[in-house]
Parts: sequence; structure tokens; C-alpha cells
Amino acid sequence: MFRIIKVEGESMSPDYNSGDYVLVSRFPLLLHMVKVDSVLVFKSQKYGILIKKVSEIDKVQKKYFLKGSNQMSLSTEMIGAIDEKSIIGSVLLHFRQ
Amino acid sequence: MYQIINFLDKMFHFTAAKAHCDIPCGIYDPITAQIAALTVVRMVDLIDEHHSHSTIQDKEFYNRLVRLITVKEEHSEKVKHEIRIIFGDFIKSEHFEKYPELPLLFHKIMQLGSADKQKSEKSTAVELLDRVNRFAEIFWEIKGIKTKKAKAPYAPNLEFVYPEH
Repeated sequence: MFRIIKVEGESMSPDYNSGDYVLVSRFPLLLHMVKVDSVLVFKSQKYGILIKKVSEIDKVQKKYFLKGSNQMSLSTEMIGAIDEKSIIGSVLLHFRQ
Repeated sequence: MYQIINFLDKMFHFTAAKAHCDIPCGIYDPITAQIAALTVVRMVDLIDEHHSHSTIQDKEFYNRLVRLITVKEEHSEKVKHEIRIIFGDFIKSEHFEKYPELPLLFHKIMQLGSADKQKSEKSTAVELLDRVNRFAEIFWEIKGIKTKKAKAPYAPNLEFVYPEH
């Protein structure tokens, strides 16, 4: 239920920089603790495994909309709605380089 | 704590989450891999030199040796990383038709990158640079840019493939 993930790239900078590590878990999802501005690691069919910040949650359909921390990132529209089952985990701890 | 996790990552290879090139930036250049490959050759030379010239194998001897090996290790991995990005993000399947050697060339670079971490052999390091140069040649050809060959202006002064403009 816990995984360590390495951040690659700069689209979450300055919050998360390339080379940083995060500890993620699905527990916050199961406990309905994920909210706007929570940071999730998830699988996108188009882009692979991404790390992004929650911008909106559709609680009825259990869909998440995400964004990066800067303009380099894909837009929320490009990422699309993410199903709860595609979420690897919510960031619990951040280990800066 | 970061150092511990980083050490564990080198052993277990944690999954990476991309926050990179989410917008395809279009900035690709094999020169980073070429410089890293040349650095591997340089480190092999320095390791040989250090080994043959040192008469006393004290802690300073081992300290320098470990530093040289560490840099060789890091740059071998960097070659693999940089080539993997170009191969994965820039090269498209249609390029395989024009350059059927590409998949095997990519695989060979990955293997040589690993071999250069495992040992300290000049011939293996030079072969890695040769293959990366060939990869660079194909890369620039795909982009329609002519290349030239010139010796790197720093030791070990081996040949690089450069774009002409």
C-alpha cells in the first residue's frame, strides 16, 4: 500500500523537482482524504505514469482532474479525467534532493 | 534520508513518475550522451593511469580510485538515459524503415552502457562512444541536418559527430 516513486522532470517545479522522491499510498483515497491541491501519482493511458496536483474532483463519478505546478505541464484538459482505479497513490512524504 | 532512498533506488529501481516533457518540448540533442560517453573513456584512462602510477595504495589511493569509478558509473548511466529519451520520444516507427539498424543500435548502446559500469576496459568505452556517434549521425540525418566529424577539443580527443550548423 506504500510505494516510493522518483520524480522525473520539471513540470511540478518548484514544488517537486526532478530527482526528488515521494512516498505514496492509496490510503488517503480509501479514507476520502484526497482534496484539491493533493498531489497524486497516477497512470495515464496516453502519457504513462505522471505526478500532478488535483485541481477538481467529481465525487459522484469518482473522477479526478489534475494539473502541473507550472506552465510546462500538460493542461487539465489534455490529461483528461482520471479514474480512481488509475491512481497509484497520494503523496504522503516528499524527499527533496 | 534522501541519500538512503537514492541508494535504495540504485539497487531496486523505483518507478518514475513523469513531470517532464509533458508538453513535447522538441529539444533533443545527442551531444549530452556523446559527452557522457567521452567522459567514460576519460575515466577509464584516468583509472589506468592512477593504477599504474601509484606506488602506495593508501587511503588517498582508494579515495581517488572510488571517485573515478563513481564518475564512470554515473556517465555510463547518463548515456543510457539520454539515448533512451531520444529513442523513446523522438524516434518514430517509420524511422525504422529507413534505418533498420536503429533498434539493434539502441540495444547495443544499452548493453555497452552496462558493460562500462561493470568493467574498466578502454575498448568497451570507445565502442560505446562510436555507437553513440552513429546514433547521433542518424538522429541529425532524420532532422535533415548535415553532420561533420571532428575531434573533441579535450582529452581524450576522440571523434565526435556534430551538426554542421
